[in-house]
Amino acid sequence: MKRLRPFLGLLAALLLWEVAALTAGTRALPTPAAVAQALVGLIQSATLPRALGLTLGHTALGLGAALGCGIPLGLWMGRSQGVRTLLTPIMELLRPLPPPALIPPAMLLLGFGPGLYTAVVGFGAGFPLLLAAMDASRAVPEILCDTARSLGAGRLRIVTRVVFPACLPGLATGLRTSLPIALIVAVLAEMVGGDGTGKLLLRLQRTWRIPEMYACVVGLGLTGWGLSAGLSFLERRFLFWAPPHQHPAPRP
Amino acid sequence: MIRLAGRLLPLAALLLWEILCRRGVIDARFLPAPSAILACLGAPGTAGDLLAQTSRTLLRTLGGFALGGAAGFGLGLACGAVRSLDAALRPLVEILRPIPSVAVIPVAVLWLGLGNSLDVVVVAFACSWPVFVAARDAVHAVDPTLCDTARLGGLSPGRVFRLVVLPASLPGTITGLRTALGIAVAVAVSCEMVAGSDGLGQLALTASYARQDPLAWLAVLAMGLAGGVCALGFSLLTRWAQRRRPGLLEIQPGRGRMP
Amino acid sequence: MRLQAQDLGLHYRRNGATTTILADISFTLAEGEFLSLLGPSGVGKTTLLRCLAGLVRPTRGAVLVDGSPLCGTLPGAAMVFQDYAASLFPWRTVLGNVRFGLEGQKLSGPEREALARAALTDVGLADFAAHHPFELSGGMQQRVALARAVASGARLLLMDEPFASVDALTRIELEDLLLRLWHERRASVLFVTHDVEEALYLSDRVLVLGDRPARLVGDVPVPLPRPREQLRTRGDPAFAALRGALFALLGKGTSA
Repeated sequence: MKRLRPFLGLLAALLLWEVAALTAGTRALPTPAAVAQALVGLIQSATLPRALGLTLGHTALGLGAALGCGIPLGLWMGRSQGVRTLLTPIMELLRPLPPPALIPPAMLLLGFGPGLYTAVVGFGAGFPLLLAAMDASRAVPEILCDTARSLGAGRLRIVTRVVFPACLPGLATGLRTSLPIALIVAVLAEMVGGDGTGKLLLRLQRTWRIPEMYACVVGLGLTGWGLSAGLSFLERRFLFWAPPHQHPAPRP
Repeated sequence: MIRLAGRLLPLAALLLWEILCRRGVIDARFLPAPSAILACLGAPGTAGDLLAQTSRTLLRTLGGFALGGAAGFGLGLACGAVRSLDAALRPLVEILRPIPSVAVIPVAVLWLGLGNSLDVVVVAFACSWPVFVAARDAVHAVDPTLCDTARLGGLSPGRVFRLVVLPASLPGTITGLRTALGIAVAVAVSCEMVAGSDGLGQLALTASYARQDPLAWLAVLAMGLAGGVCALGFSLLTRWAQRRRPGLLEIQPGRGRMP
Repeated sequence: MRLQAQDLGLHYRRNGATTTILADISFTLAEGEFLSLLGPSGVGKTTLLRCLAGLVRPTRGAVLVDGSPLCGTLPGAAMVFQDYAASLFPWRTVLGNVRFGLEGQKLSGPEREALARAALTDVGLADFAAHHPFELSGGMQQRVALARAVASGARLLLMDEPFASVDALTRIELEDLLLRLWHERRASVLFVTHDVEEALYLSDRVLVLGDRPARLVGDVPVPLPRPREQLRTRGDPAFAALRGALFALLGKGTSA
């Protein structure tokens, strides 16, 4: 009985939705069945998979930039007090800038294309990653570095073989924050003028293809969930040694 | 010494930008010089327009934040305190949470039409999640020792909750609120870009389409300032609260689950 | 290797005030000697050890290695800490941890593997090579730390209260393990502890550090017969006499 409980909750929610849709009787709220049908249709016509693929591609571009720039910089700032003092003011100035704010300037400078997504999604996802990397490398216990030094490791080996692995759990937490942000910013950029799922969503809404629109939202939700679950899987597989992961990982 | 250099770095960057524009290294058609942006601010009507749009954006941000924060807080506390409620709602939460907030915008347009309520509702939706999760987890993380001590002291469960669990979960909840505030600004601006007729988001976008680059950059700057003002306001508020009740935010979360 | 401390001093300035941690410390550690540094908690033993290891630069005096001044970290030395759990790399297996000390040296992969496994066998953990540190008990983790230090071929072991965090029974095992490894490998050992009996049981000589700022208040040779044995050595009347002398130096209780 207990194991069925989550599914019961799900079932109850679906029933609630069905009842609400039938009583409301408006086109704005289709029944779950209609949405499911629309979802199947969108998948069969390859519209949704193609759109989601584009979105994932845009997300990946931005995440790649964020990982490639944010992590090394964050690690460096964490290890070096001087660099941290130097860069913190400019970082604090840029921090409150909401990622969507970068879309218009990026449009002006780069036009629509991979460059825009890389820049905008990269900025949005990069900040949490940078902060996570900085915090993680600051928090590396000195005893680990002392041990490595006393065993004869040079600075390069300490950074690559000790600091970086020790930071991985913190980086995973940062990535957990960055992933949803990256997805959201990518979809937003697509809505403003690009292609992919964002554009598809708007198009479906404006042409009053409501069940398909909901199906699209479901697709995006599943994508978001999938990315999270993927991260959790990677964490369990590779970061099992970090203290909080010695017990079963929390739900994605 | 380095600290001074760090503080001067943004200014130096701006100066470099200006110089590169004047020298022609940066094509002013693509990237206007800071002086041009400032000049645009000085143009008649711009400052007033900018201020009006900023206040609209801020109102939507704060309105949505208040709504979503309250909803998330209440629900989070409830789920933290009542295990069965938490278990019952968990599947629903886990389904709705991964939905990107921007994807909700077309749905909200359908239900509410364009207008202020759209933005506020979408912002509230986006804000409620971090607050909900933070509040729920904070309640779960309250050190059982604290609760046990209170119960042994003769307090009823209701009073234990009010006098012990609530204060103890505050630091975690406040962290969630801080996250939510950052999200609020971003989501409000997103709504304006996608489905709005005014506000900073819409201003930045239309200015970009009309190739009024300096105006677009001003709007971007205003968005950053709005975000900064919100964050500053929040930290001032928490610091004031801490002064009124020292130790308010010093409580460390425990490792146990609430009984 | 012969290690020498010459008038070592360490102080730091903060907000205009100067705090002296170490003052005028001079002693010599001979080749193959087992030397204990005894003193109350907080006196600066760890700081002194880190100075000798080259992890911290003294503000006065010098550390000499075989006659020449030390620059950088002490080569051929390995440190073993009290907080063994924190000093083991959690992302590496036990074998991986032991291998770390060998990775800087010009050896082939199989050679490193063999040396690491040999060290693990020496400490009795050969069966746990593929485990991760978090799967082991405290005593076992400290044995891994010992194996790692020993495998690196260190000529000098710097040990900072390594057995202070394990229970009494495990401590006895670890003490005897350390003595056996020391005897087999003929390295020098500098052992920091606050436990008088442990210092006497293990060492050839005990240096006593006094109150802040840390100064050498005593240099006591321990002529108890080797090999040491828990019951016999601790029951030796000379042991009690030495213990009394050490307590007196520490300023606690009266001399025997």
